[in-house]
Amino acid sequence: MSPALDIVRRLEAYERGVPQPRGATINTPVASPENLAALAFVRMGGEARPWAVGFQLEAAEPLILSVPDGRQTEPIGEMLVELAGAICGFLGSPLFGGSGQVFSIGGPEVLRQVWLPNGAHLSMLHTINLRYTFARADEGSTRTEALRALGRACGYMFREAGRADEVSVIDASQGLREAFTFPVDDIRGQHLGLLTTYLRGSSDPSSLKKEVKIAERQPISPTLDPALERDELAPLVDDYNSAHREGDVASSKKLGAAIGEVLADEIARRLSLTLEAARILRNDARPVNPGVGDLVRGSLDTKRREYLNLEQAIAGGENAWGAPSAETDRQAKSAARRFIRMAGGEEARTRALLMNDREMIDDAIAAGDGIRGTVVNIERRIPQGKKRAATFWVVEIPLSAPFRLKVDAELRTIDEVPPGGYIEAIKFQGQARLVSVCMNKRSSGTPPDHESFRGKTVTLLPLPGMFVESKLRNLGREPGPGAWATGNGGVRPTPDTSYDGDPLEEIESLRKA
Amino acid sequence: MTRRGRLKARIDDVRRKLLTAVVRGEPLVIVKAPPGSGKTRVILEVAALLRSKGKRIAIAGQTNSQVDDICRRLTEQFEFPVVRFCSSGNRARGDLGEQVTWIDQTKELPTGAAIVATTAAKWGWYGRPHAPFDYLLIDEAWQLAFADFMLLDQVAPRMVMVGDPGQIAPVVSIDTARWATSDAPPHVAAPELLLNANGADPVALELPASYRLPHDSVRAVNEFYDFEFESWAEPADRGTEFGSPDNPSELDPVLDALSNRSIVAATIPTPPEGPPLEEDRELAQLAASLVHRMVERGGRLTVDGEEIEVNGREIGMCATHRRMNSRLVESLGPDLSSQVLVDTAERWQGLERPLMVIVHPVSGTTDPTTFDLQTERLCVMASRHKVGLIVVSRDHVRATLDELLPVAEQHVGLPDITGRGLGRQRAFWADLEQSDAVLEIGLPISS
Repeated sequence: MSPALDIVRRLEAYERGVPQPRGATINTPVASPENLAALAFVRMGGEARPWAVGFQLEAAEPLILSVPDGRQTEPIGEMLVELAGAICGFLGSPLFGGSGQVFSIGGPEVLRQVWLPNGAHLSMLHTINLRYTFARADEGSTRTEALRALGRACGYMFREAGRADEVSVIDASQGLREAFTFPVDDIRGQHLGLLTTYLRGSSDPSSLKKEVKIAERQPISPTLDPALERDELAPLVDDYNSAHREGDVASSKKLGAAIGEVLADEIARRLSLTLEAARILRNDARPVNPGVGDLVRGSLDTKRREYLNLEQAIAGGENAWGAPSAETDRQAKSAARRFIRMAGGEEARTRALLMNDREMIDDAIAAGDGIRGTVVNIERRIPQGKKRAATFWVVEIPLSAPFRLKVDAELRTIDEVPPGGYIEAIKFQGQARLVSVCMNKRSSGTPPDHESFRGKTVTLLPLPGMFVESKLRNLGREPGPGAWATGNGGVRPTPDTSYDGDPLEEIESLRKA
Repeated sequence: MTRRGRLKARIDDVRRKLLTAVVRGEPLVIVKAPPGSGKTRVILEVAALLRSKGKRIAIAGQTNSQVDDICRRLTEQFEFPVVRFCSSGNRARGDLGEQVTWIDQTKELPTGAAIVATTAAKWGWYGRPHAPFDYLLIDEAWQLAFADFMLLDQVAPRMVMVGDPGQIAPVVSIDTARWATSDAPPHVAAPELLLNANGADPVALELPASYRLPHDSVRAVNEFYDFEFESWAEPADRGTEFGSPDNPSELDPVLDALSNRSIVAATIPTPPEGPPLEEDRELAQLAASLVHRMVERGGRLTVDGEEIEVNGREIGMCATHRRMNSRLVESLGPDLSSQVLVDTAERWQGLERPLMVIVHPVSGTTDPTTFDLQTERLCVMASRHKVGLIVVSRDHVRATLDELLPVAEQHVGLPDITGRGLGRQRAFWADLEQSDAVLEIGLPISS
């Protein structure tokens, strides 16, 4: 959505005091309760590792784990080993009892989703990926293998979350913002508690505002409320460490439990809001965009390629050092592969969703990425450079309308009858643009009655190309003779000819008279 | 020796080094070229010389129209036949003459000595059905991301890359933090990476002259480059002259200033609440009124000895935002909107006009982001003119740039692009101010 349109929608939301639906369809698929899990973290101020974690299948009780002191790496490791079993099993890793398949045997494809409260929790996935994927302590121990598996799972989820067309790992607050425009600024719009409170609604607008403010005071990110951490938790942690040092097992156990209770409440709130966000989208009255099926298929495919294949190989006895680095892609080819896939994500998402959502179409038109105008003429003639006659629509659009299409741009009609064509020419007449569209795309059914469109308003949009898969295929070919320059193997050639002529004289002698 | 004589000697020295390098078989030659410096001419000469020695040459452009232009110019200047390799939809445009053979099937590619031209994207599909080509010549190479360059490894073992490092880098809409410190960041322009890559050892050359820019525009535009270049044009070669106005206008001083120098800025007051978002109708009206006034006053241009009457076709307009471009088109009105080319900086790459009117990229914000401070767009916009450039803007630009403290967002070990961009933006505006070329226009603007 363009910034100007976003502001208009935001102002409408402000005026009404409640969130406004954004989009004519729901563009985020929501998995069934048994296939949807929420994941949330809490960390100690200044620390990177989690202090407490929560994982909850929507249809089950939550698993909430914590350690008494969020600075102690050993207990944190133990906690994460337990989390590894839950997450990796949910993702289908064969190392943890999963089938290692994204397809249920003999059944339909199954989308399993992990929802996190917001982007800060996604960053925690990166931290775990970075710290544990290549853990070396206790080489060969079950504990280390579990931590590495968790690191790989978190790495897969973190990388996947950055791809625009993925639907396996969902940032709950972003999911809500994509479906609604809220009467708040961007910073406040990150707060999942605020968003869900607005969407719960209230018959009294003033009490809704109060409820929103109360919800907003409770932090959602992995960082705790500083007052809670300083005044309530810090003394408990200090006492716990003293008791632990003194060998007072009973006291340290009691204090550890007290800390765990506070942290459990924090985690439970984050999990509950995350699942509520999923339910809001699942129960929304708007239809689900039929194009999300493509996104689901793409995500299942990526899960198999990016996660399950490696897990299966490791389960089969291969070592785990082939896991992608948390920091970067060290091989030029892997970097290019991932880049091409990520860069194509936005196009793939648009291609899947655009034609099924009238509001997305309106946004595209308002941004100048399509044509909406009146068919003022219909001609039958032979296009330049072709042999067969084709039908042309001359579409008039106001000069004031944003317009950024070029000659040769391929277009599709939103109703698919007739399917579409390409822009042959753009001319100006008074305060209008006249766009001549050669409607050469063939329809599968009865030939369209072009004349019936004369004088009617039509909408034509370019659909992004789907070159990602073919580019990836081409990238996978055997290295060619120029591979030396791409860091992909081969030997740099050396200059092989001596030359002491004057090339400028030679060039002049080659020129036409 | 005259200045132009010295410059010609420098240009010939670069041409000689380049042509000698390719005849000797240097595996990688990278040529940095300022705007309008004859990049395509360099490609044509390399192709012709290698072809004369029986080599197989592949030429990669970035767009079909660029490739068509290369084919047209090759056949105009040299006798060699050229093969235009195209996708099936583009076949038989048929306007490139008989010396050009169009093919759309890989199996139709010639197996012996030949010059074959197509887009870099099309070469990405090339699967080596025959022996590889001897050389791959890449035009506008700074527009090619490294990931896309990797797809070209099937074509040839040796490469020549020619491009303008001041142009807009490959557009990337995703977060590239994952590859920021990689040895082979896939989003970076291929020649930029190869110039510094271990083991690439390119022969690196720089073209020293811009044929397009007028003599006194080069200093301002050179701010955007890390190498020095001069203008080929002498002061007397380019000029603008406008007839005496029957009805004086507040815009006349801008046009009169343009008669004395090639870059002039016209500013209007910034509203207290800040400049309008995205679409600045008053600024669009100023820009359009300037275009109308240039035509009304019967302007005449001197371009390398030729006298041209100013009409809409000699003028281009550019704003970074598409909505602002729509306002420019609307403000021009029915007659001029069909003549004046109005587009974004991305679309202006590779094009030129005698006169340009551009909207300064920072005009629309008093809180510029990293994107606003990127110099490539301003560089492209400020280097499309052969005779004169008018920069229109709100008057806060100087203060905004002076007061801004950019956040250094770059990763450790990487250059501070934002800070460098800010420095170059400041230098460009300061150059205009020091030459008394920033003129204030009051509101409202008479149309």
